[in-house]
Amino acid sequence: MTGVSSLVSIIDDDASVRKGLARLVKAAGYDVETFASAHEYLAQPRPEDPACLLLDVRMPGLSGLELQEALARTGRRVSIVFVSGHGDIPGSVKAMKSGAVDFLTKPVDDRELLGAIERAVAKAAQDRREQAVTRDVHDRIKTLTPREAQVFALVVTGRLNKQIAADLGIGEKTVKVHRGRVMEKMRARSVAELVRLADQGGVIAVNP
Amino acid sequence: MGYNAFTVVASLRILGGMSLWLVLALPCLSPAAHGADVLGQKMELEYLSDGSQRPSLWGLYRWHVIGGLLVLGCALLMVGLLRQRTGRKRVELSLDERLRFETLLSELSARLIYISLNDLDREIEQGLRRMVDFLEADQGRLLDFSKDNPEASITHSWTAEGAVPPPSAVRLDELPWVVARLQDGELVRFSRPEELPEKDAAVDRRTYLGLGVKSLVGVPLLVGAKVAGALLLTTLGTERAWPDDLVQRLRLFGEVLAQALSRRQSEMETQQLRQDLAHVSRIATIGQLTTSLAHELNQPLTAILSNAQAAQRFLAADPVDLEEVREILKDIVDDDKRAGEVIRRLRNLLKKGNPEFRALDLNETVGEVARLVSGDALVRGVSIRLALAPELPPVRGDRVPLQQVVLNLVLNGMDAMRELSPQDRILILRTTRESSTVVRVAVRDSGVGVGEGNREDMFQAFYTTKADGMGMGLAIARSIVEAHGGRLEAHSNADGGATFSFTLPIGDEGR
Repeated sequence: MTGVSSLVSIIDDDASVRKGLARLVKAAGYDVETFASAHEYLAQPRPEDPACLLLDVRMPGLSGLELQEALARTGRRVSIVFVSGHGDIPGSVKAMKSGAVDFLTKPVDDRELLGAIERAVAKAAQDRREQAVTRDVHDRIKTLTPREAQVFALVVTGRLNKQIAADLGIGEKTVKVHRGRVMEKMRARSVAELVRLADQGGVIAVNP
Repeated sequence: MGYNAFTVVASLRILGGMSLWLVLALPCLSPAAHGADVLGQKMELEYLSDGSQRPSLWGLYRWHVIGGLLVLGCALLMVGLLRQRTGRKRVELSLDERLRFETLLSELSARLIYISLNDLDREIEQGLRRMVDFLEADQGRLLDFSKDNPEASITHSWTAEGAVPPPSAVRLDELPWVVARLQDGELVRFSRPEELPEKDAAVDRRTYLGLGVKSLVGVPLLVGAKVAGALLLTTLGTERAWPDDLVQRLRLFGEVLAQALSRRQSEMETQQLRQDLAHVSRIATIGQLTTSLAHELNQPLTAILSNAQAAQRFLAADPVDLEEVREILKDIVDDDKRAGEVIRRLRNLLKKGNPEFRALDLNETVGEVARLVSGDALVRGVSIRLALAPELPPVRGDRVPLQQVVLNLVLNGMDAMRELSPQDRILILRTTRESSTVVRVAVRDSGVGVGEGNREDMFQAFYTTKADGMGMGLAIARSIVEAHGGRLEAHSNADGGATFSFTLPIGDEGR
């Protein structure tokens, strides 16, 4: 357990299940908030997503799977652990494909549940780190001039300076200058590193 | 009797009158010297050997003889007439009796045919009573040979007022000979127990002597070709003969009883079959609910497990938060009760018992079904709304089959809304007091509705529009409602969907 306690959000329409799960998760050292429905969860303004979302599949109104979809549409990456009343195989396949951490069946044993939550929290931390890196890369990309950005996009696709010069209709020397500035601004020591940063930043190679 | 006395007196008078006439006439008829009798007839003279004449004996006494013969003839005539009259009187008397018996018999058979099954036993006992009274016996009993239990084989019994019934109920195995005779379809009768065969019927003799039964007549009851039971009449205080004509009548009565018993048997079999069918279909219906029941049970079980494991963690902490643990234990108890409640509801609906008609709160019955299907409704995305009439008077009914009816209508309603978008899947369960004597339970869906053509067809057995349906649900539901004295009907709603509803009479308690 890390020193800082992570927040686990529990959404279940059954009050006593909510209460029981909340007690157990709290006893394991997490911060807990509970919601009776997906709508209630969505209605709550939040600066930061919880480390783990413990989500009942079957609920009146918006179901757990529907909430997962809705969250994915907003681009928020939340680690979700599903708990389902029964072995709903199509539901579990769909949930896992959409990136759920685990799909547990009620009644759920504490070790299983807390294990899944731990993995979800770890995944959330990982996600957060990745997101931070991506944000950093994006920040660096923003400092590039449009021409540098063009050169950057072509370099990471593996084209040679000569080819890039031909592609952009500029001199090979000018390409070399731009390339040097890109390496500097992106703080990359090699082309390989530049490619990795492009990957993390989600830069899509553009063919002119 | 008056008639009889009158005849005798009249005959004596006629005879007396005639004798008086003869006595008066006799002097006139005595022989006269002038050689002519009273009627002036010349008397026949007899010539004696000495030449003298005297009237012959015939001449002298002929009128006496004729008169005597006349009187004798009259007397015989009178006696003959009298005898004939008394003979006719006896025939007329038994005709009257027979008429009374036949009236009694037709009355009994009419009652036994039209009476409902519930009242049949009482009516059979009444019939026995009237037969015992009519034939002046002390006790009438009906034996049922179809029962395996020898103690339970006396199904009906009537003891005449004033007669002291035997101290203990007789067991069939205490009467081996008599029962064997009756089971072979033979008549059994004795006017004293000693008339029973000494060796073969020794056990029977002992039993009857012990019971104080003085005389008995037993008639086998034939249902089809089988002896289903026997009708026994006994006297307890006095010995008595059972003449043939009486036995003949008893046989007629036995036939009426046998008919009633066979009707009862077949109706009971039908009823049993109906119950079995309802039970099977109930199980099939509940089978549809397994998903939702698993959900219903899983919720409290999940809560219990989480709470218990949380408590274990709290207890491992230092210091132990006893207040928290106490609260957890309370929640565990509540959740456990909740799970038990689900199982109890399920078990109630699955149990196979004899019909129990009692005062029933329909709101509670309907509410329980709503709770039972709540999980299923959640899965199917149907919202169930209850519109229960406040202060609904109780009905008389058997809860389980009535819940089955409601359950069936609810599941049908949810099926009918399958194609709708979830926000339109609304099912309303409504109870209303329709009149001072009738309440109504209605299940209203917003589904596809019912076609005009199927409105009656769908209540028939094996009628179904579902791919996986058995087509028995509504047929069984209707038979259950009708057995409660109500009606089950369906109609389309003006704004779409269908309403299935049934009426039930308000019980005596609720009026």
